[in-house]
Amino acid sequence: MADLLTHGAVAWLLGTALVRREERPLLVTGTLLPDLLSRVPGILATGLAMRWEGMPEVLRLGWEPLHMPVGMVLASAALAVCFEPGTQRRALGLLLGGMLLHLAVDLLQAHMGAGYLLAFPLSHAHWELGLVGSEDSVLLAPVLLGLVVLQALRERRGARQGESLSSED
Amino acid sequence: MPVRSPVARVAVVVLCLGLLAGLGRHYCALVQDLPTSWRRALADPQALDGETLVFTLHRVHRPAGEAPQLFRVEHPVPLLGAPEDLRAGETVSVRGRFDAASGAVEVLELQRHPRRRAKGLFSLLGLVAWALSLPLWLRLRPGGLGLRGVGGG
Repeated sequence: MADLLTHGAVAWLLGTALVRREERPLLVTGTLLPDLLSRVPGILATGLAMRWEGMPEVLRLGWEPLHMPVGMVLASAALAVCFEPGTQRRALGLLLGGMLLHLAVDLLQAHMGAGYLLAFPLSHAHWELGLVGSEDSVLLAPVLLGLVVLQALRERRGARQGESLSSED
Repeated sequence: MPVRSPVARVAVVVLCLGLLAGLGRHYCALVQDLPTSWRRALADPQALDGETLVFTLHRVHRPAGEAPQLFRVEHPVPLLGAPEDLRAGETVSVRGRFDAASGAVEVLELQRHPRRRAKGLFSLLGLVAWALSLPLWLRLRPGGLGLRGVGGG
C-alpha cells in the first residue's frame, strides 16, 4: 500500500476534475477505506497476537479481503445503505470508485514475493505492476500535499470572488 | 436501488458483513495452507529442506550474541548470511533457502525498507486529517447519513 496521505491527495486531485465539490470527500473516504478497514485492524491484531498466543488467526488475517475488489464491493454496499435514500446510489459509486482508485495506485508498487489478489476468491493469483518501490510514495506525498493546498486556496479565492460579485449585484 | 426501510438496510449490512466474514475465513485458510511457508518449515523441516521461502516486510531482531532474526508473529526466523550492518528494528524483505539441519534461512536476496517509518507517519497524518474533516462534510440526518450541500439542506 502507498501511504494514506498519497492515497487521499490523489483522490482529492482527481475528484477536483471528476466529481462535484461537495461529493469529493466521499471519494477521498472511499480511497482511504481499504487500508482503514484491512491494514489498521490487521496491524492492531498483529500487536495483540504477540501478547495473546492463542488468538484465532482469522482475527489477524481475516481483514485482508477488504483490500480486494470483492470485499470493496461488499464494504461500499454496506456503507452506502447507511446514507439517505436519495444519496445512496451516488455514495456507492463514490465509495467504490475511491476504493478501486486505491487499488490502482497500490498496483503500481513492487513487493518481494507478494502482490494483490484481484480475483479472490475465484483465483488466488496475485498481481502488481512493479513500477515503484513500496515506500516510494513518501517522496511523492509532499508534492501532492502541496498541490492539494494550492487547489484548495484557489477554490477558496474563487468562492470569495463569487461572493463579492453576488453582493455587488 | 435506494434502500429505504430500516429493516432492509440492516439486512443489507448484515448480509455484506456475513459475506465478508466468510471471505476472511477463506483467506485465512488459504494462508495457512500455503505449500511453502515458515509455518510448514517448522512443522516438517525435512519436507521443505532447500526450498525457497519469502518473508515480506518483516522486522529484524538481533538477540545478543546470535545471528539476526526476522520476526512478525510466528516463531522468529534465524538468518544465515545476513549483512553485518543489519540493525534491530529495521524492516526488510528476504528471499532465502531453508536449511532443515540448522533450522535457519540462508539469505539469497535481502531488500531494506528504510522509508517504512516515514510511510507510517504519512499514513497517520492522512488518517488524522481525514478524521478531523468528517464533521465538515458529513451530516447525520433523520433519513441516514448525508453530505453537506447535497439534499437535506
